[in-house]
Amino acid sequence: MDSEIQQNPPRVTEDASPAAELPTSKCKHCALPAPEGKQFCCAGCAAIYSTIKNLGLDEFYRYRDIRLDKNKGTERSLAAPDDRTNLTYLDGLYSHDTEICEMTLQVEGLHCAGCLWLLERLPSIVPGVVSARLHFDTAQLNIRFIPKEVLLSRIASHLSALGYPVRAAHSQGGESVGLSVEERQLLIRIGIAAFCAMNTMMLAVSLWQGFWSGIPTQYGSLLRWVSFVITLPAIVYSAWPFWVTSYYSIKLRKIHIDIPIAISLLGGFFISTVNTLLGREYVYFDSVTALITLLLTGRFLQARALKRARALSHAAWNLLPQSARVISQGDVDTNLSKGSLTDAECSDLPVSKVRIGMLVRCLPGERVPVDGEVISGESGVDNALLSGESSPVHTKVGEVVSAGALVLDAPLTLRVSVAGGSSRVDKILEKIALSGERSSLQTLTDRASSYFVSVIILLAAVVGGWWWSNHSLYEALDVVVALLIVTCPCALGVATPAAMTVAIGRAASRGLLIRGRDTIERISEVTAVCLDKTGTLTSGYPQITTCKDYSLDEARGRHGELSARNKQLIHHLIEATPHHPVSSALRKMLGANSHIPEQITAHTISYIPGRGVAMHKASSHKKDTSDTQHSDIIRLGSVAWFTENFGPHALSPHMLAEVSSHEEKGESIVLLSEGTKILALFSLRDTLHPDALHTVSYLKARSISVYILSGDATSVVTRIAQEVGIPEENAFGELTPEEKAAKIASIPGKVLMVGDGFNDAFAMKKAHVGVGLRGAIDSLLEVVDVYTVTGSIGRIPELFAGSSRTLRTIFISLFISAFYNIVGATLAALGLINPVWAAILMPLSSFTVILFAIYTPTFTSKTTDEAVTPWK
Amino acid sequence: MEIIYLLLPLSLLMAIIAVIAFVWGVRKEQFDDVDSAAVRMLFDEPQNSNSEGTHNQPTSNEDTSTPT
Repeated sequence: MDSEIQQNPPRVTEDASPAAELPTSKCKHCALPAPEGKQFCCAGCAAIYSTIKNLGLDEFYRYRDIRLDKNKGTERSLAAPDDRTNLTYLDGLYSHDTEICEMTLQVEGLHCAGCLWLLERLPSIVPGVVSARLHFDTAQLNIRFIPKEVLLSRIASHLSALGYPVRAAHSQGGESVGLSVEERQLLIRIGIAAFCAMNTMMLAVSLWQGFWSGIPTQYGSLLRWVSFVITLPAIVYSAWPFWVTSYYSIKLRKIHIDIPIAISLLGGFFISTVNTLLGREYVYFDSVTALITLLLTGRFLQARALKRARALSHAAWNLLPQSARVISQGDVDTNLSKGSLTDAECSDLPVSKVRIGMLVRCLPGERVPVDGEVISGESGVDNALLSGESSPVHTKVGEVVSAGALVLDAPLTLRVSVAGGSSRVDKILEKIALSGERSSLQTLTDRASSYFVSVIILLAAVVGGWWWSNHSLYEALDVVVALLIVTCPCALGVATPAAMTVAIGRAASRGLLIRGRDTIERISEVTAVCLDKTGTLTSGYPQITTCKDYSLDEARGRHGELSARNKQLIHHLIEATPHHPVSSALRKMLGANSHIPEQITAHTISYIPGRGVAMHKASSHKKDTSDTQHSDIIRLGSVAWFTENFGPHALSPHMLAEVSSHEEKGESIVLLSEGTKILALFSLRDTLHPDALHTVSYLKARSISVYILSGDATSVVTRIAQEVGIPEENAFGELTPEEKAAKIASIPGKVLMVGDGFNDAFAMKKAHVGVGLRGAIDSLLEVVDVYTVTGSIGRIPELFAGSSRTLRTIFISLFISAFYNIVGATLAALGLINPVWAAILMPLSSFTVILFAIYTPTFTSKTTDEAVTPWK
Repeated sequence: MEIIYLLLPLSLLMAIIAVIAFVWGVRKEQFDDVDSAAVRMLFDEPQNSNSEGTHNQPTSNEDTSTPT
């Protein structure tokens, strides 16, 4: 007992202040958990908080905790992409001469009523803004401002400073802010149908009462006639889409779900009209109008969910820069005569205004805006956009650079060879856009409808025939219509859209944006998955895998910890070329314990492209080189560079063995040396994404064959395939974008393609389903069916699991509706159905199905934990 | 019960007026974004310093609670 207390002394907090009792505090701005003792969760929130306070907009915090629909809102952008800070392109998008200008911006980072409040306060934040109106659903901000008083880019940078990064709204072909014309028309149709339904139902209650207690003929007749008149608008106007679709499907001989619906509606209306004329009691106006309302509503909700997913996926960033830094012509001539362009005056121009022959300057860390030829400067360039590979390509004067390439080390000046907007990348985009929509899948619903139609017609004929021969024609008609009404495929018409809407909405709120009506079904049909390598399976950038310090143990070196001096040296050396992948990798490695080391005095650092970084002590930096000088030069670079300087025997046999063992594994080596002495060795490689293995095993467990398609060297691809569990014959390297697409076409079965880069775009179109991971560029988003806003390849199992569950929900809904149909049809055939029963059964079946669809979990956090077997 | 001959058309007329109002609202884009509208009505009027006059007095003094 005593020893227990010894081992577990009662927890006494020395400092009993409230802060010590709370394990974490909440960020004052965003209310997410903040590190202990801190007021904010990140520097971003701190900055925004002070901005808001300075503007006197504290009221924001009153509304911050009011959440709108929990399925709405966008994710906070977690990682800042490279070069979005240049917003000047926005100024090129409108005319500056008008009185008031109206523009729409796509906003990221919306999540609460406070955001809405703050953004609509824009007029009091930025002078010159007349009004701002936010559409929370699609995250679009409509701004009216005075062009003479303020630039759009200024407004945009204010918004960014408040925590809402913006870009120009992506409007394509008729998609307007808010609802489109068709959607509004659909809404009106629904409104009218609802009006008709509610009124006929009111009147129908009296008529039903009449079944039991009798109703004076004239009133019965009155009510039936009035019901008929009220139903007319619903049939003629609201249900119009059903007639049109049915007409065309019959013409094209393609079964569509609208056909059985049209049959039921028309049949019901027809017999009700006849009965009204004849003064008979069985009228179904209320059921018909209610059906129309329900079915239209289902469609509307589904369309809205899809539209939202599409709009949100456009909120991702464009990696192709929208503006170019152009050297003004006058300065070109003066500077060329001076021999250098580095001091030339530059101005920003929207890419669309860049012409051939202009000179454009690109700084390290920026993307090239247009295709061009290098006329000055020399740098490593990352061509990942087109090749998929981010290993730098050394580019010199005279060589061609494509738009989208990332300049790494040194500024480049380009002469534009292709007018802005027509670069190779743009041309590929055009081709993709022109290659048209994917052929629509004959969905489950459509196939079910074809069975349905045949069964119903058969049944109607048989039952009607029996009744006609044994009873009167009128009774036969009554029975047939009762049959048609009760078996109306409400479930098919409503349940599927309901389940889809709910699933798509849930997935969207979890950051999986699903874009097409039939995407979920397509996913369940997938038999093979193709994964891109760089950026999808791997992190995309090399990381340090081994680090060996030789300062203490010169022969063998020590793993792991670097000496302080080595760290210091590296810190300084990598600043010479901060955007180089190796520098980033080293910085990350050092980053964990980053205290800024003291300056090493008196040195010069130079970067030699293709080799590495060298640091000379200033005192020994003389024009002539003699052997003794080398001992002072510190180098961080490739093995080849080291042996170039000191000969192949400068490396000890042990070192050579070390180097070759790493290179066999496909890793590249970087050496830190001081003269001939090796200080440290690093091996780098592009490491697997932590979720990659799990995803591949999940797919294999579902009997889906997995392939890798990559533009990288075959040896590297094969190695990755081994690591992740993909059979070697399924790993393909050194593929161009066109070859990737061809490969997909050649794989048997239905293929799902996962990628993150532009070079996957062609392949995506050929695949049955295309999935774009976060970081995928805008143009890819035109082509993908699913886009992951958060997370990466680890979301793939979730996608499959959620889709299976959604389909399962739809199947079960179909069974439920089938059950109701069978019961109803039996009762109808037996002549037991009158309008009252029809009015009861039909909504009952619909609501059961809808409730089931809504409350069954589809895309939740629980779904990925089970090994979900495919429904089929 | 003959009164029903009057009541029915009358109530239908009222309902039709409601439908017309609905259609008008949809055309005027009022139903485009219902989520924002639901929340927007909670906001107070902005205290515009550059608007004419000071007739917009601060509405209440009790809501000076500091944000958590």
